[in-house]
Amino acid sequence: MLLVDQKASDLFSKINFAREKIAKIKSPDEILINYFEDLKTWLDQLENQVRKNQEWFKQFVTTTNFTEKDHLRDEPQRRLLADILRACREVERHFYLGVDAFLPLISVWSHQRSDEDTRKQHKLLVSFIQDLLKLSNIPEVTMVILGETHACLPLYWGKTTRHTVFATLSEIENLRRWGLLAHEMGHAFYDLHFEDFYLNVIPQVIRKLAETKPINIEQSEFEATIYIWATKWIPELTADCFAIKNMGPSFLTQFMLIALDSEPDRVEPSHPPTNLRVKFMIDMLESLELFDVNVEFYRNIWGAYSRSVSRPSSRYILNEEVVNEALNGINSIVRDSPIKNKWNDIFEAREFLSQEMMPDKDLMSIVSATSLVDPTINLYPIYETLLERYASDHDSF
Amino acid sequence: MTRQWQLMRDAQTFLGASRLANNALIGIHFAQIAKSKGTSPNVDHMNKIDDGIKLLTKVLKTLEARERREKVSSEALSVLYAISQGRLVREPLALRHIIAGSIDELQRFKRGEIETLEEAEELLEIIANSTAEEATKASSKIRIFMMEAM
Repeated sequence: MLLVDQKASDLFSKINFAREKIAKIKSPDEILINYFEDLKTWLDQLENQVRKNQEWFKQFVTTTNFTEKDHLRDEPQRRLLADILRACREVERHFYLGVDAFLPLISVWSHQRSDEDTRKQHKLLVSFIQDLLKLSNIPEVTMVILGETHACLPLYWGKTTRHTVFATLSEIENLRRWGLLAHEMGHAFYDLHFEDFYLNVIPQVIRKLAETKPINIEQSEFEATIYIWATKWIPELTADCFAIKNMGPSFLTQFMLIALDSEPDRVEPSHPPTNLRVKFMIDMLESLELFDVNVEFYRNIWGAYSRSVSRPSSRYILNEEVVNEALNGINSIVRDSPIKNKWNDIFEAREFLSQEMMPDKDLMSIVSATSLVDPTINLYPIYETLLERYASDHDSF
Repeated sequence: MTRQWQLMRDAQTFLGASRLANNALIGIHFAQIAKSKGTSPNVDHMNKIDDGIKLLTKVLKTLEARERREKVSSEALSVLYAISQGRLVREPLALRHIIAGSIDELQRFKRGEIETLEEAEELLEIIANSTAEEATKASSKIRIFMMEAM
């Protein structure tokens, strides 16, 4: 068997392993089952691609009389072999990104759902995420994993996209931190509205970048600037906007806490400067006009740190007109502000929590309110009560 | 908050672009080998060239759309970024000329009007290589964070 055929055979084994792994789970829960259906379809597509590559290689061998005893000298033949090997590598990459990354999560998910140590807290967190998805009209059910850090792992399975949310295990008992997961769900929102951004936001930002382009900028830097705005900064700012419109000041407070020790004006290709993000979020919050929210309070506390340690950058990528075009565009696509309808409940929940009493409100409102009470108040008893209420043995999700 | 989402999306977009360029190259190279042997190219192979035409058309349309604030393609933006960081740094006008010329070449090659490709093959090679390289960079940075299951 030639090496390329051996590679194909290895990949078939991996595909079959994945199929068997799924088949072994006799009665997957109502969340997992959604992933399995899509994954099976994706595995079929990958298998077809491997067969196609094998067929190309077979035709190549027949046409060129290729053997593994000598290298090729004819240029088109050499190039064709390189193309076929690249096609093999692409299928392997797809398998790694969509299947290798996902398979271990099935065991972790199942384990965390049933293990005595994690079962209840996992269940409570799943309820919170599903409530957040419902509140923000994202038609998806999402696996949640207690892991090392907050993150959103997208799985692009052909035409289908699924997400898995990770939450920091060491912060699971700190309800105040849960609001940060709204940013991760904001990435799912972005994927759902992907086409809108490429129609209504990104072209306008590119146009502004072109209009404000300094004369001495290299073409490669201009393309990189477009790429950073389109594929990194706009999605991140969208996730921030989504988080504010769903969680309001709770998200802002927690974000400021995690970003406090970052360099506020540092320009990173992966994320916009923290100052820009916080300013955007505070402006968003102000536009929501939630009663009893003093946005100046947030502006002042953030400014007290950021203005002391940093100075705004005047780099081209941060041109004010470009920034405004991006922020206005994002705001127009993240249209809904569910926090507005929730705010009464959150406000009332905050009053109860301030007196260390359990509010008779829904999970989203209670979690949102936790960030708004005096940080010295011990909320662990509230967490325990929520576990009983939402994750007792009698409940199922 | 990690970059998992960004890296996965990057890798996926670059892989998509690379696949289209590579499919076209497979078609071109099969056809060239057949012609050098004096045989007719296989129709299925020739049809793979359409993937390259499709990709280049998307890039060309995106270059034009960028000037008119019209819908752009994420795949095309990724291609423009990848090639601008490597061997093909050109002003948009010159790039449009190369791409339009390459599309025309590929169409004529498919119809059997020309035997050799002056620009299109090299352009597709650059796209396939640079996007595959970007996909590799992104996917090698992805780590899946989780606690031990058992």
